[in-house]
Amino acid sequence: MNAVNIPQIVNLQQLIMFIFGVLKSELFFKIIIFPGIFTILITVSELIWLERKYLAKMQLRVGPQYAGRIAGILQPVADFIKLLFKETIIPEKADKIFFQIVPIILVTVAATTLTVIPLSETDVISNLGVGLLFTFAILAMFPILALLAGWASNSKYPFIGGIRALFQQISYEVPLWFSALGVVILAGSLNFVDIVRAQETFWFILLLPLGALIFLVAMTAELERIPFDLPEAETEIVSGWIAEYSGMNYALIMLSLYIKLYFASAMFTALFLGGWLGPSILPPAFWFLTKTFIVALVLMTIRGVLPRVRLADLIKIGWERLLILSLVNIILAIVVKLVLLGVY
Amino acid sequence: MAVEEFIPILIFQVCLVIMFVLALIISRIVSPRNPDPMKTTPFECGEELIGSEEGRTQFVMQYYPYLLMFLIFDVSSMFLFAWAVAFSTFTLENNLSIIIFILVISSLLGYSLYYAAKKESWK
Repeated sequence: MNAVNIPQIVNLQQLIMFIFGVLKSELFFKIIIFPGIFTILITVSELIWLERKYLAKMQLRVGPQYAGRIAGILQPVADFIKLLFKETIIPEKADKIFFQIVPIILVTVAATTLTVIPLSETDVISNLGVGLLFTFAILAMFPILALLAGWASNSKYPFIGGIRALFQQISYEVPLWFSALGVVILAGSLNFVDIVRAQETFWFILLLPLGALIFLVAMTAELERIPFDLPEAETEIVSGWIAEYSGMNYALIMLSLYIKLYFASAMFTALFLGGWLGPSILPPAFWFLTKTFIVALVLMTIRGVLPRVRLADLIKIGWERLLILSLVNIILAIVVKLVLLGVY
Repeated sequence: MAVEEFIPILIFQVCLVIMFVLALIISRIVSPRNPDPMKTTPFECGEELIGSEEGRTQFVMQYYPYLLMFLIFDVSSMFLFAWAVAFSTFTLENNLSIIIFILVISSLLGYSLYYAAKKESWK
């Protein structure tokens, strides 16, 4: 990874040349265009459209239809423009500074997780040695931000939603970590590129089906999606911690939620489905995005068919089923690793 | 691990923050503003407020034992990650001691789950 070297800048011409050099550099292209911001926004808007259309088909509705020529494919863009012109209401009793900065922090933090996930061997913004730990460290920020949003709103429903978000996400974080631990044992690295390279013979979903299942369930809980959408349960607590947000703030929060969906699918792909690996007829990034969309479709199907769990069952599933199963999964991973090594 | 690896992430974050702050500013400029006392009260499904106006009420922490368990397992899983990276470089005896540690964690989990379920008040 080539970091930006800062040269000695003497006069204006050199400064302009330096800025042009940065703009033309490979790093800047990566950050802005290909694995970076532009690609993330395009993919996420496609995911939003796909989810709305797919859920509509499952519920025998039509779904988005008019924006864009083909089946309302530009609906997310139209929604964004609509929300841009909507009035932003900030409650009088709210903590205005925190209320306002939470959407920005949330969307930035959500997108930051995607910087370490490789779309192909070279298409990664930062090939971080501790990539997996980095993503988990950032995932741990979401419950805090949800609680902060609920607290700053100073309203009853958002506060309940924020407390629920905190509780749910700490319950499901430990199974998530332990299920990824099996992958780390098999791959012997925390770097995503190394983890994908280790899957050239077998995808880890074949070696650790239990771990993949636990990861998917725990990730659904981390994403606050149905059946684990207690923090934003519409029929119980309006919209949970999002209830007081409107206008552009709401658009940013929804964007961050769908960036999290993209991130969860991408992470599942990198950890269990062999990342960019596939027949070399098509470019590696194509395989990666295809697998990511398939995982996202699985998550959408889960959303379409399952009801919401009860709060008491949430604890039972998290602590008494998933955590114990993930400890079993660690033992299974050790056995698989020993068989693969063939040493002992 | 080098510090340079984090610089692209920092640039990425700065770009995003600039982008979204701009979006918020543009939204503030183009959107209408019709202040109304009913709009800025806390949202309660369109009804008038019931009870106190303060949203930050006190809660029964039925799940406090689970929070304590989270602290223990979060830290221990960090140590397990460090071990998992170096798994293939250890000998069987060294790995066996970690496996015994995992079993000890499991028994701890069993006891704390039993204790937490006893405390639970919403059955």
